[in-house]
Amino acid sequence: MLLLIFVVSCNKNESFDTIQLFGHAGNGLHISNSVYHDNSENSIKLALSQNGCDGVEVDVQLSKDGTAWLFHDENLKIEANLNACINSSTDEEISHLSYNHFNDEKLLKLKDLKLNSKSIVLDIRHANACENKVVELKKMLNQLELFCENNFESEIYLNTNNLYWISYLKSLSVDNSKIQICYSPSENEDLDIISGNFEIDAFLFKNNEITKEKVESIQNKGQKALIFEVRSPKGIRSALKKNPNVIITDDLKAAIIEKY
Amino acid sequence: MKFYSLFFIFLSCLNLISQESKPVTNSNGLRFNKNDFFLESGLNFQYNKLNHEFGLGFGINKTIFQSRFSPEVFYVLKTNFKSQNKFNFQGLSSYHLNLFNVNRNDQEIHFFNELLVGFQLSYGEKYKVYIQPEAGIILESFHSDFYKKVENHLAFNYSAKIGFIYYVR
Repeated sequence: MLLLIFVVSCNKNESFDTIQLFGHAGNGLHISNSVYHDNSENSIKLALSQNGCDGVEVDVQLSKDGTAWLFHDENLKIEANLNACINSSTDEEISHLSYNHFNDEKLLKLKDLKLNSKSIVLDIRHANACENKVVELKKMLNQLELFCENNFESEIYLNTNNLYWISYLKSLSVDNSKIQICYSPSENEDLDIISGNFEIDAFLFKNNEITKEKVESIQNKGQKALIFEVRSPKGIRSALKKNPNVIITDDLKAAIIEKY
Repeated sequence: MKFYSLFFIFLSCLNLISQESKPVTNSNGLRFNKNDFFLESGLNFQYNKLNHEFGLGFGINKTIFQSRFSPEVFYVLKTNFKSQNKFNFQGLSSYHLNLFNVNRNDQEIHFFNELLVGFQLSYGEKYKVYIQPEAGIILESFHSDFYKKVENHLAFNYSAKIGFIYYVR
């Protein structure tokens, strides 16, 4: 019996050497075995500390004072007990909040995040859901410039789903050749038209909304394909077979096991 | 090394059990925790009015479905709270050590130490079925080549187990 288990567990996997693995919102978003809250400093550190993890994805939102904070939801109520949006809260208010989690972590400012040369996807949230308006582009660009300068050794994907912001992100005055402008198209957008936009370096898709052929077509145009919403081992295997440039996964350990 | 030491202790305990004249039972079950489903098998014996269980197991998802051997050793200390008709209610505390290699390209072994408390409710005489819910903490430890140090991460943990017990002698 033990011999059979050992033989099964030594099965050799396919090789996916060129695919990079990123942790979603640190070490995973809304996942039962997560030790830390998503977008927290500990969660990001845990992800980056694992061999086989190439980077993390985090969600960036601007406070009322124009500081970039890492937070996923539109409203702070469920995760941090304040019935307000990040965009309508001051830095003072946010700095006193903690996540509703076993480890009681504080919210993290983007400028306090240290990558130590690993890669990152910054999911830039442009909408202020509480006041139903778009956040100030100039303030966001300032925060991004500061972060990119401090992490000049890292590959940084600036992701947005606002086409209007692409040119502004592209024109960031930072000396970092590793900055990649990434766009998340909606389901109804025509990929053939959008992928003709030479300012876009990469595209971010949900795993169930992209095929292997589409990934190939994007890569043939010299652009990169990033896949997210990859949770179960089955989902990870399906994403790996599409051969994207990056997989953003919620179960980093399972993804590393599948890759190696 | 830690795992092999515990495995050696486990074998030594089996040797002690075999010399005991009191009833020895075998317990087999399926345990679910935050990380995996574990198939477990253990031997129970009575000593100083307490019930001791030593066992081995493996993580099903990691070992079978992800081809990554994920062994486990565990120890459970049980005490009888109440027995009525064929029902038996025991309070328990347990320690589990599970480990696996995440990345085959290096030797980054992740150790998961669990400390749990809970109870076991069993039904039957010679053959028993039982449920065993537990809660406690889990400590994940591994050496990070990236940060060049041992990383320790503590979290809340829960566990639920179902299984059956039968008398070995």
